[in-house]
Amino acid sequence: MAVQDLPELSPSEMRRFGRHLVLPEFGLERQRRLKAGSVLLVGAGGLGSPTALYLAAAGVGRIGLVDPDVVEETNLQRQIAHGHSTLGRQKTESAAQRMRDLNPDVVVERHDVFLTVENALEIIAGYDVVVDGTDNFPTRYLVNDACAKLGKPNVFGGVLRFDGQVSVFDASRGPCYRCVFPEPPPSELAPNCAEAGVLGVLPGVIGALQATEAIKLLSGLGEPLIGRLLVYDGLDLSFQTVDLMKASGCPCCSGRPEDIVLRETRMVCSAPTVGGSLSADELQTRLDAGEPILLLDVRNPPEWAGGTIPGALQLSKPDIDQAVQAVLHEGAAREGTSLAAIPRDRDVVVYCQSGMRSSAVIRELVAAGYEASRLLNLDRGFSAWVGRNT
Amino acid sequence: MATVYLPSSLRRYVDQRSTIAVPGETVSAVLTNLAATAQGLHCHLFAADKLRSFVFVSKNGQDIRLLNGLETPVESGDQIRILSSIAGG
Ligand SMILES: [Zn+2]
Repeated sequence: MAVQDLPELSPSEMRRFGRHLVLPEFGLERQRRLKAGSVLLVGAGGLGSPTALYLAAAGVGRIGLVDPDVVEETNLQRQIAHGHSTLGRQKTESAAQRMRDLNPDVVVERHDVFLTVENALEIIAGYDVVVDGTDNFPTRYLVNDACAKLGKPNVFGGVLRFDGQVSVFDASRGPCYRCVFPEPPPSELAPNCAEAGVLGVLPGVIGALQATEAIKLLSGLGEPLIGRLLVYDGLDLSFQTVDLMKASGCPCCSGRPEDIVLRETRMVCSAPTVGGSLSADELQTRLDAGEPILLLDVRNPPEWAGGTIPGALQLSKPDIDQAVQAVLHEGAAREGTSLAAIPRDRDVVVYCQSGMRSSAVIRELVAAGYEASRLLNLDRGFSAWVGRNT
Repeated sequence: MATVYLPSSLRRYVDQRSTIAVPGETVSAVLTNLAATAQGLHCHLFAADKLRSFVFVSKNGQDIRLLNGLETPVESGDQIRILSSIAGG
């Protein structure tokens, strides 16, 4: 945008952004570029919280938030845009409230939806820069492909345990996410933060770096992190950058952008098969009839402490992941692992909180030799059971 | 000996160390030697002897595909970094 077309700053904006304006490298013009600019944050959770707050505070004119979830207590260990006062509210609404408190002039656009193959292009097309702060591989690949197709820079950030990664994927100027990681890992090798844990401050570190890159891209300041991956190690407290290559055979960006077709990425276990499923009502009926079902609760100890279905065997998904890995890839005997507690000659009803982790566990168990017909996923998990019994 | 750096998710195979010295004249030999010392690590790195598509390896700060891939020569003191894709947010 030509300088004369950039929006003017109001007197209150001049005061609020004074610390930017005194930076000779930044100055009034770049501040006006931020005001003219727009950023889409995909995910308003661990990474999205600090980016949303810092980008609003910095004076970005318009910020879109994509997140279908509501604020839960377990979020508050790291998702600092939310709070106890907004428990149960939409995350986009909760974050928007804090953002407007920091900068009353910011325009916040809420998208309370999952980003999907159907809606991704339409939503992303409306913004200058995309910040990927999602919590799952399928959405990351979707964000990457849609950005490459639309020619939008994608400020990528990922966290797990104590490790973080940041890059700017701009397929028109450098590699994309698929150039570096062509496919997601199989689910038994890819725990998410709920399963593997995350140090609460880690998304703060990585999200703040993503916000830095978004501000640089919008204002034209400095050198964007294109073609480089920044690797953060919270245990060693080290930052390293590695040079990335644009892959000539990249399944996303090696052809013409207009030919990129968005596809749903499915997380698969090494042997994809699924068992059946049953509802909380059906489970109650079968338990009432005295059927010898084994209930398998694959949530984590803190979740077990909050209540469980009486008589359930408690084996967390990370424990099962490790046992399945040992059986599949390390030649361990099933009986020598925690899988020994899961019988093969009875129906096993597997449940987690929502039904997602348990369906992944079922795929893994099938890969480890269990009969798919004996494994049943409890639809919508413990949440549905609690809903039925309250 | 090259110095191999592992992400925290793989350190349980090497007594929770972040770096480990491994012999080998190529990246492929270094990774194979590393996998041989730690049962379970092999499946994280290789599928049918090819580097898995979610594992990224760099030598001295460069994607090994910018060099000569798994056949990239390794000299004493080189830094080999293994990264896994992570999706948490
Ligand atoms: Zn690419």
